[in-house]
Amino acid sequence: MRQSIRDWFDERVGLDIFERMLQKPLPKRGAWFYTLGSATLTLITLQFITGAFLMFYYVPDGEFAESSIRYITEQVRYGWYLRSMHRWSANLLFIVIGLHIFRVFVSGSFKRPREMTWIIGAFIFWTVIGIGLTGGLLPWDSNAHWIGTVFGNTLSYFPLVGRFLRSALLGGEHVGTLTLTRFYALHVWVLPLVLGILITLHLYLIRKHGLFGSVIEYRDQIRALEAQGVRRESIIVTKMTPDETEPFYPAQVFRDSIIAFSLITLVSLFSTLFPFSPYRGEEPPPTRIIPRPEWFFWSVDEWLMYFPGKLIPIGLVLITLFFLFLPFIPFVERHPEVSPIRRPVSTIIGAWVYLFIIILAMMAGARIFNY
Amino acid sequence: MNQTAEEPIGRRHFMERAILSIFGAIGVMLTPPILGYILSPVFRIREDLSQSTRWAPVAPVSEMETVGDLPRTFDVPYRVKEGWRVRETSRQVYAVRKGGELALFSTFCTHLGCPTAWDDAKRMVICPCHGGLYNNFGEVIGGPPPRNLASLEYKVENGVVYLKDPANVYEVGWKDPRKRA
Ligand code: HEM
Ligand code: FES
Repeated sequence: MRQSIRDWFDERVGLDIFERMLQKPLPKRGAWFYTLGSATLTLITLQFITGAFLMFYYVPDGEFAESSIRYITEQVRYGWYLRSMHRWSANLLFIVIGLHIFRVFVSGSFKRPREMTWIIGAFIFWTVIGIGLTGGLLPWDSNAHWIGTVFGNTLSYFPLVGRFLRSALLGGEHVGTLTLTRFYALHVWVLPLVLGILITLHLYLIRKHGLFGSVIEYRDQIRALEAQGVRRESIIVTKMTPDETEPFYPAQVFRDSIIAFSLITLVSLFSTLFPFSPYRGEEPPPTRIIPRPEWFFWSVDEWLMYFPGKLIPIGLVLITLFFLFLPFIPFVERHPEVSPIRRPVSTIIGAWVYLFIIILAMMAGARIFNY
Repeated sequence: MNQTAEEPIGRRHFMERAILSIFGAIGVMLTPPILGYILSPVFRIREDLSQSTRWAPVAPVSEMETVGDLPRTFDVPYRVKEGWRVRETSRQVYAVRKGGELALFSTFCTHLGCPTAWDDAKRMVICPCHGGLYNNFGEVIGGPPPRNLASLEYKVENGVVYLKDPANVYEVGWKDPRKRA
């Protein structure tokens, strides 16, 4: 019976493709680090689900946004829970993505033939930042207003196109009626659509190449290259034998499931213990509004602070170049080895960049909370 | 993919060109309306801006006369036309007496636009965002702000001080929309 159902579908859908995908070999070593990608996917899925349900009540209008959020948190059954899930999961997502990028960088997994996987990953990263930024405005409380203002004015410092960028994004010179609907459209539809397409491509490429390490299938090509006199050092490959790998299903799916379960439990726990109320803390009197960016923008905020007066555009251009540089890493870091120990320069630079970002964020945090 | 005998190279070429042209034409047809649609608020050519407040009352002259050389904060309510809506809102301005003359200046930090506040104890205008500091006349004395707080135009009419163009909140880059309307 089960076999006949399977065959029915196989004939019409082509199950063998999916079965082959599940059988794709993965390296056994370091397999827990490979769960970071699927952990990211778990949280993104959670964002899509909780976000879709927030849309049932949220109204993207300057007059009603705040009230509708208040209604969600205070009156809709489990509204506070879904909203807090959405926010906590977003926060966790930035940490998990950071770890995923770090593991991919350290293990040299962005090298040939996986450059495109990395490039798509960098685009994904930009998109996620965009979603986080546009989402920050939707509560439309005074903090949201100032986040938007600071962001718009930051853009306005770009040489030549700055003011145009600010107006194009805010829908006018300042944060107002037209800003909210734009950010809403970007946050709930445009950017998630882009993200969905990019993630699909990302996953396709991962399945095409197999995870880093499981490159046994390239062995013949390497022999051929060597026979042509190409030096072995310039051919990137790892020494994996079949007994060092195992199929994706069930071992890796099992690990991924455990991680997914732990993450969702964690988000749920945080949401229950520390739910987000419509007002972050006390409602400050108008003269004492202290705008607070989301923590994942703290390092950028801190960085820009070190470029006062006429230097502001320089700080802005530098940090933009940093983000624009991400997709090019596979073409700059071309060391033949993948092992982090055997390419110490990249490993050290990578670690320093992460440390630098974390220190900047911590300094910003200290400044913001001591003010 | 295979070139058949009945399909000469010319025909294939033609179709390849045609496919490119077709998609090019689709792009050309769709791009201008989409861009125009998204950027419409930037150009605001068809907006009726007469509904924004031109001159907003700040305070009676008698009250302004009590202002000394330390800035005092005033709340200025005004209307602003934004797309399809006329919004009632308000902003704050500082008033200070400078060389015997009344001066109004903006509370918005010239760095990234955060709302500053006069600190009585420290005798400075302080920006909460990145610690921009200004003196009592709104001149930068520390932190990242590139310029002094914007001084604002005002007029006195019938014993009331009016602020010009209150909707011009971030003097950085403001263009008077009425010139296009
Ligand atoms: C929404 C965000 C993302 C999702 C859902 C995602 C998902 C995944 C998954 C499921 C894997 C396979 C498992 C693993 O290696 O952990 C993976 C691998 C990979 N990811 Fe991502 N990823 C995301 C963002 C990124 C970013 C931002 C980058 C880099 C800039 C990146 C670069 C890579 C690379 C190069 C691989 C291949 C690793 C290998 O073959 O060993 N990903 N990703
Ligand atoms: S916005 Fe005032 S110092 Fe940055």
